[in-house]
Amino acid sequence: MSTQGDAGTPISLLAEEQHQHFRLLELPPELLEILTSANPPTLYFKSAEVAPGESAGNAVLCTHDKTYNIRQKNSSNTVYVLQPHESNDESGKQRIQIISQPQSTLETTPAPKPCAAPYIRQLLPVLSSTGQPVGARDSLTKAQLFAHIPASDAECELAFRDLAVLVDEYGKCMIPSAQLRLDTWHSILAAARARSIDLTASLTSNSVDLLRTDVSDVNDLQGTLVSAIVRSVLIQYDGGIATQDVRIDPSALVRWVGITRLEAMSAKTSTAVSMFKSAWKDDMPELWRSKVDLTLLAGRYTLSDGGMTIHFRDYQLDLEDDVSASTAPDGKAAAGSKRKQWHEKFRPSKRPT
Amino acid sequence: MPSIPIYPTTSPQIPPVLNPLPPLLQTPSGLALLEIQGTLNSTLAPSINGSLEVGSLSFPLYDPDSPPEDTAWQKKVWLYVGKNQRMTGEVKKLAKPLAMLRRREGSAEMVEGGEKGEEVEVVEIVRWKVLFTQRPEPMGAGGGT
Repeated sequence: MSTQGDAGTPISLLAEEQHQHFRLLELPPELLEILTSANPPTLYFKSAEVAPGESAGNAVLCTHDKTYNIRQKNSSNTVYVLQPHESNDESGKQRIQIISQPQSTLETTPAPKPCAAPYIRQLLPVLSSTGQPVGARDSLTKAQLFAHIPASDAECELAFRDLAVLVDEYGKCMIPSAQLRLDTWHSILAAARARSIDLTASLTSNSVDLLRTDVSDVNDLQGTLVSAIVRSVLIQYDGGIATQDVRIDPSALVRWVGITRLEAMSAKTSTAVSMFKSAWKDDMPELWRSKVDLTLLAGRYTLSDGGMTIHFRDYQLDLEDDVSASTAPDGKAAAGSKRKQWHEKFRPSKRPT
Repeated sequence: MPSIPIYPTTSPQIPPVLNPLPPLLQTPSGLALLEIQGTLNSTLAPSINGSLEVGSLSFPLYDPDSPPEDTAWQKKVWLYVGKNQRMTGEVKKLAKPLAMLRRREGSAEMVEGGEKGEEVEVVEIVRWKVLFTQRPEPMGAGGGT
């Protein structure tokens, strides 16, 4: 019998100074599957970068394309980690040693919705319509940016594309201002008209190149913006062979143009819904003017004055939505930590398990 | 804060020491979990190497020759504590498997801000534990059965 007869296996407790330090992480089925697959990937703990004095957000666990919220769970029970150990006295006799006493378990739950866009907007400088990249020198590279966002790489990539983030010759990232995006879009429309390129139809990469050089023969950043805009509204093909021809997704374009137009208008003045919709229609290629619909802007606008006035809804508010959603059951947010050690970031939950 | 990689387990290690636990509780690294209500305390002095004798762990109903479908042995586990106490517990399947993470010594590469990159690895995935929820019973001197 493996427990050496009635006496059982001797068990001892290693001195605390010699303890190893483990964290226990709960694995839902998807994470278990990933970690036990033939070539398990590296996962990542990520959290938002905060300024000193600010309370840190929660840490998350990321696979390549999914984000999980982490909560530290304490128990009134004591958990010990056992390890078989060869004893010094009698040869061949097996023993068990307690080598660690983890204080808590980390609970994982899928993050309700991606939040990369608000962080990208928060972390990057804005390139305004004057084309002066002020502050870009201090900006982040794409890799640095992604490292600071508590979301998976795939979610960061999606937001990066949707926001038409620009990367300059030094690899530094910037957000084009709403007005710059709108002006560049109008230049694209004009160039397409001049060359009889139908933006609602299939586009060759040659057409896209022509549009780019028409819009910006001198300013490289604006040319990059043309490509970034087009890329952000294309129909996405999952895998498969990259074809030369691409198509713009009408819903994606309508939403992108609407958000851009609304943000640009809201910055200047209070905007009447009717005026906004009329300008939005004019911004669209003729064939798609009828597709303009406020529901496509869900999440990015609010109405007031009995539905007569429309406002751009800041991305920051998406983060506040998440916080209130995640604290609703408890009524309390997890306390923040200023320390940078990853194990310090998991504050005990106030709810006993 | 820079993101912290969690590396998957390196190829399963062959434990250097034979594992005295029943196969169900055995893992490639040899690590296993034990949970008790309360804590193990002692007034005894630790031995020379710093470890403290707790007692012994036994699975009185376990028979390695029984078929694996026979799971009755899981319901009785004994933890003898000191000379006079015994706790009765069971082998229990974890509601969710647990990854045991440990900090890895960071690589030599510095990350931004001059901090040595923190790295973590999955040392083991554990699916079972030994759980003791009952109060210890007093045992006669010399231990009982």
